[in-house]
Amino acid sequence: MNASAILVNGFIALYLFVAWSWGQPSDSWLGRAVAPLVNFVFWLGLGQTWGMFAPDPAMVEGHLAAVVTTADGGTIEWTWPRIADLQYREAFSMFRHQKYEASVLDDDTDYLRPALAEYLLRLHADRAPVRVDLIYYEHDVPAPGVEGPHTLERRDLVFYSYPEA
Amino acid sequence: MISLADLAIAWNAFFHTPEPPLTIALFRILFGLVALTSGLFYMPHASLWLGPAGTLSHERWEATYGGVLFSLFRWLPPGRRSIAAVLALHLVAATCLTLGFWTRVSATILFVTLTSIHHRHPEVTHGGDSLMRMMCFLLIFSPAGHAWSLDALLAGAGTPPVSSPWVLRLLQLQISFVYFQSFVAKVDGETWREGTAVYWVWMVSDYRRWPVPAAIRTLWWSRLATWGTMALEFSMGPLVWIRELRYPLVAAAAVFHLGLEVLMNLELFGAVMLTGLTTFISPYDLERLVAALRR
Repeated sequence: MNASAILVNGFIALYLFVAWSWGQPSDSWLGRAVAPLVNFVFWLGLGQTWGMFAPDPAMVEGHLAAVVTTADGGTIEWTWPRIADLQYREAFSMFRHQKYEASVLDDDTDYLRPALAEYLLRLHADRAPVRVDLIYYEHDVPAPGVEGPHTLERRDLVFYSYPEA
Repeated sequence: MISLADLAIAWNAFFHTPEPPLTIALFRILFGLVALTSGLFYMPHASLWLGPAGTLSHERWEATYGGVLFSLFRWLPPGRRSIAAVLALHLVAATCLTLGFWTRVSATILFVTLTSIHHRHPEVTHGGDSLMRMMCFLLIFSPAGHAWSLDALLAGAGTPPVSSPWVLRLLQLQISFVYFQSFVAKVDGETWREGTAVYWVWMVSDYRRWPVPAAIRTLWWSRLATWGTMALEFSMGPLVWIRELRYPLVAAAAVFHLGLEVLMNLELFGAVMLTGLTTFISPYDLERLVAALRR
């Protein structure tokens, strides 16, 4: 076997090993074996996590909004675009808005919340904003086979305030 | 018992038996078009997702991901010009890859721009984006420019030479792995096991394109769709490697993704998966198809 064949087969083996080991518990032998490569693979954008609405899709409908308070005590209501309200073509190109909304509401990526608040302060800079409250509008949805209104109770929850206390 | 020598023979037969590079060339063309479209979709919202004054300021991004994720935006001055330059480079590279012009260089540049764009705001990317990066990375090492390309045309090559299809095999394994791992992740979900998951996806999320008709808001329909999804994802793992089952399963997966496209807004996820499914088409069948079309 020549050097290039060794290189190619080594690359194949490494690629398959990383793909198979990625996401294994860090205390498993596969997790420990892949650990030295994780940072580099992640840096390169080749990490593998395939969930697709797993383990469970959301069972309530939630939407992102905010109230920006200005220095004179006034308020500005701000709502993130709802994809369901958009036309087909517009919705297609604004898919990432939906991903962003879900990420802001996700506690695992809460670093997005102060960043969003700062964005809203910049967006309304002409009104001298001093405070931002991020709000989550949550609606229940009936279980499968249950007739009646699709949207039941609505709950409003302030889940982040800027500046932080 | 199987000997190491037999394993080596099987490995070489699977990864290295030479074949015409038609499948990887078809994949290159389709992938280039998807990458081009992806770049075009970013353009209207570029300052929102990639800009220093967008939803993730340059400082916040640096504080969270600086050094952790590769991106050209780390080294470029924050601002509109940098965004325009990266997006323009992306569109040029995607166009060149589609045409098969400087194919390896184009694939390399496209991988750099794709990764830079995605990593500038990772929380607005989806599974299709991740798969695109992997596909593009593997294309760098492939003979995708040996057929149906400007490179081949300019080289005056006639019939494309056969070559080792190891990159194509890795792409096929990658696609198969995506389906199978999605199945495994779903097994842990109560809604997937009880058969209501698809109902919740349709009813709850902003992903749906149309109001859901009452006829398919029933439990039995949801179970059919939920368990059917799981069965397909499982099958695309081990069963797609059985020769007699490959085309029926690939066809079923294609119908599944086309159905999702009709019902749901998943941006380019469906297009990426459909492009990935073409890697399972035999180059010899493509040869026969092209010959038949020429007659």
